[in-house]
Amino acid sequence: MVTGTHPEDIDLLDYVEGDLPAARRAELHAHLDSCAKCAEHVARVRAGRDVLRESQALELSPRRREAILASLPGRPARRRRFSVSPKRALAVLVPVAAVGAVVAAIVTTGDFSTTGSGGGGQAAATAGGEAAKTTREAAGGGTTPTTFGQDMLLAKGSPEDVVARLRRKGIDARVVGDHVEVHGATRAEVDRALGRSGRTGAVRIVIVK
Amino acid sequence: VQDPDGPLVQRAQKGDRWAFEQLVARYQDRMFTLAARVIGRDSVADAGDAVQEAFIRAWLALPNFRRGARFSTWLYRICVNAAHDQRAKGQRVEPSDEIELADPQDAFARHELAGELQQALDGLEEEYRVAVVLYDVLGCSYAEIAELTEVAEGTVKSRIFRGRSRLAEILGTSREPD
Repeated sequence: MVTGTHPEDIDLLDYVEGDLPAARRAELHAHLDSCAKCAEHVARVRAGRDVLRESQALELSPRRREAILASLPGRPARRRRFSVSPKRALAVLVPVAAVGAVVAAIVTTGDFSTTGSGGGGQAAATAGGEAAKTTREAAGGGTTPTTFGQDMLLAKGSPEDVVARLRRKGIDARVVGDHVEVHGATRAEVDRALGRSGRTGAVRIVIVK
Repeated sequence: VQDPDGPLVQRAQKGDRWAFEQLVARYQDRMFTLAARVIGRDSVADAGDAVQEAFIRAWLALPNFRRGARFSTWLYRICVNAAHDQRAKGQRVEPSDEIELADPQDAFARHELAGELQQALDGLEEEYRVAVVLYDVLGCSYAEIAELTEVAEGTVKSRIFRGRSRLAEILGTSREPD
């Protein structure tokens, strides 16, 4: 498309990239032969492209890569939607139905002794355990530890050095496993205590709220 | 089109750290190049911080990653946002001991970011800088850039055209037409 007497930017970019049909390309070529302003514009766009494409890719340092991998926090377990497959539903419902039938029989016959309903009781216990397990799973209750909701940052040096630096600033810090735990301080306070040079590195600091 | 990262992404979504580490290895240099060129100036440490922040954000958000979307586009968007945040914080003054202890990769990046190209990129508006780096340096398609910058493809093309033109103007170079 041409605005006034000049092609639009998008058209000229397609021309530079070789994305135009032959007929349209010939039209623009003719225009560029007679329009110094557009020709200059296209020349600049080509030069900009060449400079960018000739630029070297930059590489992340191995040290930073290590820091990235070390700083990945634990992830909260995904909350599973409550959905029960037909097979699983049968596994739960059949024993429950069996218990129901036994209870109904007891009520009907007036037999309240436990000996006659042993099988049903076992089935009920199994069903109850299964149902409880299903509920726990459905609620997303697992044993996976999570740091979600905790603040985390990184520092240089060893965990012991970081603890010493933080304690000198009056912050309650301790080494826990491969990381440092901070209690009773905010991220901003820890950040200030470490200063500018201490904000990167491989030591993970977890701020416990 | 099937996402080539799909199998690793699915494993990482379930919490497989090994799979995520493979994705980090696959994208770390492109992410670093993107962050460094977008943040600009000459701070390698800022770009490293942005990449680290971006990978942590990606790891935490991965369970919500929509199937059918392209992982690289999603990751680059997180990286551009992290780079934008880092740039907004202001340049960090790197202590001399950090520079002296720098890895060879950092030394090369520092050299590149102090060069004419980066100075010219710094002179562009951010929307132009992001568009030309994604298209010409990382090789993203117009559609990918449109998705990750949330603008129409026509706008992406216009930004690339103007960004390149302005860049060449700053550098004082041009190429003759065919």
